[in-house]
Amino acid sequence: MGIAISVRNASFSYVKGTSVWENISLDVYEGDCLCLLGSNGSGKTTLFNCMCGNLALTSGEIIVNGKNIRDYRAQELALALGAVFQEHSAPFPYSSLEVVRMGRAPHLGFLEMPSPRDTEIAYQAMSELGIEYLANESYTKISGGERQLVLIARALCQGAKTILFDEPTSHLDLKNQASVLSAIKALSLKGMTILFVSHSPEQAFKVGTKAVVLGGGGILAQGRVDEAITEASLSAAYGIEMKMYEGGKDGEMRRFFDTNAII
Amino acid sequence: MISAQESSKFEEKKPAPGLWALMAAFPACLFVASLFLGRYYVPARHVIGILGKHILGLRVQQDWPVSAETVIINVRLPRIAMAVLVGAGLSASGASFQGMFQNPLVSPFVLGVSAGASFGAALGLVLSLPAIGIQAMSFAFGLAAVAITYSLAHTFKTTPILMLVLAGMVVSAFFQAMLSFMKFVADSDEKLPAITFWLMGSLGSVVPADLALAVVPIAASLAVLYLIRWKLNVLSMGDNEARSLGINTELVKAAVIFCATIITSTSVAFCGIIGWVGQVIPHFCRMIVGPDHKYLIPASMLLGAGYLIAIDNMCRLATAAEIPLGILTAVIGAPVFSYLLRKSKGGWL
Repeated sequence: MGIAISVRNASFSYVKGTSVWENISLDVYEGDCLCLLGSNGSGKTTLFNCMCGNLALTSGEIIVNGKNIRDYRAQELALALGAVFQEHSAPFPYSSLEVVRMGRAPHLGFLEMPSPRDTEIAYQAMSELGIEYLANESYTKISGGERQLVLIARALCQGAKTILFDEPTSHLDLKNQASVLSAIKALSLKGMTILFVSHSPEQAFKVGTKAVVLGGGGILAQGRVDEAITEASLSAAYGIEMKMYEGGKDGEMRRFFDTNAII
Repeated sequence: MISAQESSKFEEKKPAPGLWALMAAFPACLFVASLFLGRYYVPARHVIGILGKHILGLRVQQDWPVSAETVIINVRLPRIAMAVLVGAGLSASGASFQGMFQNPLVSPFVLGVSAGASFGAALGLVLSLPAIGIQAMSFAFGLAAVAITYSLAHTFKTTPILMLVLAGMVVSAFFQAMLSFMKFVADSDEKLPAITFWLMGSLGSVVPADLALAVVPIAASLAVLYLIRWKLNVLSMGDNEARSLGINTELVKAAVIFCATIITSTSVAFCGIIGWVGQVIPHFCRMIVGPDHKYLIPASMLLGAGYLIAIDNMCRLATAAEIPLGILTAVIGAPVFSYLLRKSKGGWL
């Protein structure tokens, strides 16, 4: 298996002298579904933004498909990586189909507009996620979960083999969380490479194959999900004592509780 | 990866061809009709004869007075054509800026072009420059104001939208103050009224030479805005997202700012400050064709052109003395817009 994204000895600081994380290295192999965990302020979203080319590392390098991310033009990078952002502003009520169709942008020249074929591809991407009924609905008037699925469809019709998600289920209710997670899992099973930032260790067990726990300005643990996510690594990451409970058949479902909160 | 082999039976909602025909007919019919309207009476058959001779190059039996020919060819035609250019230009720049700034409240003057151009014109008037000199000063200071705004906002290889808006406010404030100073030092019998009147905007002084100077920069900029209009959809999702979708955000932003600035400075240089058109026509258009810039930009051009011809007709026909255009664009437009706003409850926003 080749390496889709390789982060090498990377450091990042917004303010000189105080780094968010320092000298971290991790590899995302092709076909991985990697869950990136960590407390608030541990730099998950910063790392996400570095990986999708919106922030430049202070030192170190990020290699995407064998080439340094600095050497990519925006258009070229968009063909290699798709990104689904967390905070989402929608100033104009475009149709959901139009939002999905924006994923075709990297395939178009500077003065080019999407062709009927691009529309077809966008519609197919929506069908694949079972949201083709939203095509003519305005993006600002659909639910948060549907909006997230529209953005996933957009990343899909971008045609990149790797998709990065920044907290794809934040602000969603349980049902919508489930539908977004199962969409991500389906993409992963199809062989796409996924990296998703999450606040919930359970999600790593549900859909992830690998996990990275960020904290204390570095990586606390990484590897297979059950190797990386342990009582020890989570306790260190969140600064509270964590206890893991296993449930479901074959420990398929795992839940974590903050031991202090139980008292 | 998705392949597009199966063809779906899906029908996308988009503006009907008939709607486009109507929107195109609006400025076209007004353009032709306006040639027949004016204080100086020219019989319709004369107007047709004069147009036949000059536009189509026909050999027509010439039975009209020379003054009729002057009125049609040297006064009405350039004035109406300028209304088309300025109306389409302001309205398309407004729509583009609203998309780029991700905010439907933005006007094409947000980066300080009108303040800069007003100061330039006032300076020209105070220095008693000839008309062409005043136009050149106005155009140059309009461009300079936006150039200052852009360079103030440009940091770390990016030009954040918020920085642009703030820098635009700063630059506008500075040139407004300079304009006030010009008014303060201007001779209050002659120069001050000239400055005040100039600021109200008018198409009344347009001569064929003005049209010849204005047509290339405005038409070329409109063509560029038209060609990159779909990128505005992507850009309006925010810089980070647009970049991750492969858009060279800095290039698209610079192109939009450059084209819109050429259009607005040219308009202001020849016609003064014409407010409201660039801010509100895009809203009318969103009610009609929706927010997609692929449709919004051409719709804004068509309706903006028609709207300005219509308002300018009122300016020159409503009363014996001409009413400044900048007054009527809002006096007529505001109630109409308020009515539509109430009726649709802002449903297009």
